[in-house]
Amino acid sequence: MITIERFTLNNGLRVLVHHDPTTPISSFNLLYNVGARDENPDRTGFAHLFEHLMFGGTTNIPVFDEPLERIGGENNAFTSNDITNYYITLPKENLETAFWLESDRMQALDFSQRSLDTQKNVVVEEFRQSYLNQPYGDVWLLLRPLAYKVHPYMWPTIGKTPEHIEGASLSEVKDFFFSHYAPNNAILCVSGNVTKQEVETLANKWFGPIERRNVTPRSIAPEPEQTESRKLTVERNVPFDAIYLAFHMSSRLHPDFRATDLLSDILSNGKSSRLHQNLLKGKRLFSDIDAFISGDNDPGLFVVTGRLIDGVSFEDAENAIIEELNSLAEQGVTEYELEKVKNRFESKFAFGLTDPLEVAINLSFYELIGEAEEINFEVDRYRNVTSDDIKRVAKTMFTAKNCSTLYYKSIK
Amino acid sequence: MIDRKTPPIANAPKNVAIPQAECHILTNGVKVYVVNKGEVEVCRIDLLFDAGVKFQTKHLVANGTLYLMPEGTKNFSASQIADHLDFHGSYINRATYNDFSRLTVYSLNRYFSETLKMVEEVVKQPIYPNHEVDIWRTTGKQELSVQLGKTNALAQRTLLTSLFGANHPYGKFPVPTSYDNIGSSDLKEFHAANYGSASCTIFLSGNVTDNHLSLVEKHFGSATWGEKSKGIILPQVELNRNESVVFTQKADAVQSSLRIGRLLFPRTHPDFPEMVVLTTILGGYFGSRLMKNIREDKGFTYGIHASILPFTDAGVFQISTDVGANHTQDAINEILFEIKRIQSEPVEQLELDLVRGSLMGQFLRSFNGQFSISESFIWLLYFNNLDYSFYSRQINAIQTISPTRIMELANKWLKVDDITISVAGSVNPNSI
Repeated sequence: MITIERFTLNNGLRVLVHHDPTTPISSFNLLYNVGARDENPDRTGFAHLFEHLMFGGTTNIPVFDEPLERIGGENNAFTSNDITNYYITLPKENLETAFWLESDRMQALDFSQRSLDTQKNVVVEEFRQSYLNQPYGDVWLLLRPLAYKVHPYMWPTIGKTPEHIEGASLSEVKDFFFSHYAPNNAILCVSGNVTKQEVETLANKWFGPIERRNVTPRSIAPEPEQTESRKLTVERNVPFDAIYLAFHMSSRLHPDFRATDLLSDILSNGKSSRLHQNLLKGKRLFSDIDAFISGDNDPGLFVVTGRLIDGVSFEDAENAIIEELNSLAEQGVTEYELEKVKNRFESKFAFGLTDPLEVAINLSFYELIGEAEEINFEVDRYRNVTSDDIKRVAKTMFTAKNCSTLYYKSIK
Repeated sequence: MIDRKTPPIANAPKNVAIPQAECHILTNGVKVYVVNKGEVEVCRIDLLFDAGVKFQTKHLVANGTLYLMPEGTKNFSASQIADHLDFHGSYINRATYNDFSRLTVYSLNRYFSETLKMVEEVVKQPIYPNHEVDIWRTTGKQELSVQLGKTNALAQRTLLTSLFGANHPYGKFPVPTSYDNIGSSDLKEFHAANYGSASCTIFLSGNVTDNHLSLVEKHFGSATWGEKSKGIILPQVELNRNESVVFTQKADAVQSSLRIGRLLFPRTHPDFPEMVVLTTILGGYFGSRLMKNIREDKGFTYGIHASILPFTDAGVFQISTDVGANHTQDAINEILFEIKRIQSEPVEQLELDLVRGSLMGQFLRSFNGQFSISESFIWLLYFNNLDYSFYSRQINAIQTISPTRIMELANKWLKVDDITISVAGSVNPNSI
């Protein structure tokens, strides 16, 4: 059982404290409620570029990483379509340094043209390294706009194209900061050998003086229901054909979310899973096969993907996948299979709890979408999913008109 | 008004409380190191064998032998094994390194007994059915082709081949067609020759009880099993390079992968702890010289790192990065510039203190949590056959190395003439 204490500062910053006396390291996690979905469609990749700029220093602390590394700390960040998350781990005696650093860059970033120019280059190189210079690296650049026509999930966090990043101006950067980075749009979680009292004192001292800001209210048009199947074929210089099927699924808070997650596990989590047993080993159509959910807060995607064995046709590969999906929708799952994926979920979740930083990140995230204490009930909630739920979700979701299919064709 | 310019009072950790593993010896002589820590009722067991790549005589045999262990045994089919492990929420990872191989099993405590029963079967009784070997060949062949489409994989291979030579186990690599030469009998032979109690060491970590230990004794300790791997004599390698630039063409690459390095020594060498400091200054943390210069100042790359790759009997110092194709030559020049700078200019106190803090933090973090501790010990006690005093030597080096000594080491071990530059991509630096 993870115990959590909480308080809110006058400026709206929500703070969680998890007392964990077993570790010499404190974890400090600051989540901002802003992600790639909050970007302007003509300026995509901005939330992520911004994450880079946050390490560019301020007038008070010209080099962000140095004072932290000097005292044995480490930090990093990630951006998703929904959130931007910054984290620090450091020796517990030095916790105040984390407060000093994070509150300073929340208070005022030092936006210099030079820092912006460099980070634009770095992000363009990241774009190339992760999306363009990897076999199959551009898949999400293709699949997202195929599946989404309205919702900003149509672009990945890196952005639609390097040009959007190259074109970002200093004034746009400033606007983005002041309309999204604010104490009243963030959640802080501190875990380690520290008391609520200590965290409260430090939070008031360092974050207390920062004023509330006018956060741009989120108004994202929901993705309309897909009414016909979509197909795209591309040719790339990769060694083998690959296929991707993307279905619209429920949002993170929808009661069917966990059933959908387990459905993906039944298909491909572990070597005894259906796709692995039937299509990779049984029919030998794929060298690699996977089913997973994007896990987004707004309605996300359920993706089935496989790399085809040389000589297998797209049609045969696709039909075999669809047959597996239909079988789930028609016959559902056995109780044994369901128990198996629940056990696997429980195990993975339990191992996650052994990492103090992962716990701090998860607590912040659970607080954002509901409340942090939910972490203690997650395994039970997954346990409550029934085979009827799985069948119903499969039946509703796995339809041709809800599907976007990408044929990623190898030219050799 | 709060003073935001002055950092709060804080100090780098000066000492790290290093835990020690309990060592148990099973009836058959197998050593079990136990790191008992953590409240969550889960555990991890690592079974390590002297059965790495260097023990094989044909490409992919070591890898295939380990990978296919759970794909059919005397008493169970591949799907029965997968089902049993999956049902109990157990995860089994396999990894083949140059010097050893390992099975890492993650288990809920309440199913540890069920899990271990099957792990014993998998380790001792694999039968390598032909059709499973065939599936492994087909899928492995394809996945390797995909890997070899990546510039970073190409640059890495080419560097190691250049440093060790194409006949050394650390320097030779399979190609997709290597899969065609492997049959079930190769794997059976390799298994019989290398997977025995005399080649096995066990690490057990997490929320460990006496019951865990008696289960390990029951399944792996009561009697001797299998054969002991034959010792391997590795070919001698020349410490000094014979090629300065090696290039692997990948016509359409928008980035070049660079691997720049030289042969070094294993962790047992007296200079190793200090070389760690030198490597860190160059590229071992976010604020390193290479990151500052090539990422933060020039924007040529998303990341650049320096590290020392571990082998039982060797080490490789290397700098690795992926840079925009148009920056290939500039990036190489800047990297060489940084190497020359550390040879010729004493490191300033401020920077040295920063590196010390960063390294002590990394050190502290490597003992944070039951599984990190166990992982550190695998590489210390098993891999390099070192003892805990290595950590004191490392801490001592971090805290006492002088700027003069750093220059001395850089001149001794990082001579530009001894360094090989491996480039994979569309731009050949030889032609510039």
